[in-house]
Amino acid sequence: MTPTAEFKTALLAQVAQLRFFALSLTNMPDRADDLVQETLIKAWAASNRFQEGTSIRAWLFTIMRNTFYSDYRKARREVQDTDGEEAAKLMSYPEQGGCLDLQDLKIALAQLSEDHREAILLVGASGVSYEEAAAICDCAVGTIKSRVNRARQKLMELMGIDAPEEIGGEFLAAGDPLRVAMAQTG
Amino acid sequence: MERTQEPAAQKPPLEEKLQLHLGDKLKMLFAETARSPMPDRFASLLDQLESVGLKGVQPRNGPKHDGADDSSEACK
Repeated sequence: MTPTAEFKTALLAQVAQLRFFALSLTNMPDRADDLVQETLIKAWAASNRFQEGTSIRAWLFTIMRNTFYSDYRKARREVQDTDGEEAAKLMSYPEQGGCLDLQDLKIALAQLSEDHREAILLVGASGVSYEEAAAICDCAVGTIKSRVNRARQKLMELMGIDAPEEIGGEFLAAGDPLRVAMAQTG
Repeated sequence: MERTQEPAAQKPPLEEKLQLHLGDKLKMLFAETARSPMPDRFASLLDQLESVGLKGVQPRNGPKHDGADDSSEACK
């Protein structure tokens, strides 16, 4: 059956999510976009297998992750041979410019294990639920929760933050009254 | 496929404030990518797939077009 125009629109709407997940998997912007392209082609070819009413994002992420681990992993290992700062530079697309404020986070993320980085970026950055992340990564929900928790701890350790007062002004600059109150009582 | 189970984390969860801060940073990281202009190649690719199908569209790593291996787990 030929994919519908709605299916095409649905794929296009997921491209930003796919690019972010691809970047977190490959750490290489050029390869990330190649991975997005391959994922879209495979999804198009397998469109009759997508079940209406299920999450197209989770379906696409699963295709992407399987493609990455079958075809791209060797290239990914080559990047891991670089140091954290070099790897962090690769965590942005050229057109992003790169926010200096996020540089520490990128360096820290680059030093996490693949499993932990994947879990924290899926749940913490992309907004994927624990259940969805478990399905995408083909593991138990408890495993995802454990990986996210460990990743959080490791990121804070790598970023040198282990107490709220070490976060600095930017934390309060968010302007959330609840957070301001929490910081004042902390 | 057999599912793996890691042992529970040893350390207690980070304080809520630290988690909120880290969560904000991670969302900023996603927003940075989402804000960047989408390359034309993806819209062009989907236009091509819609108009002529998979003919002439080759994945970078080979001619596998059926997506069977990579999508089957997601379609259970």
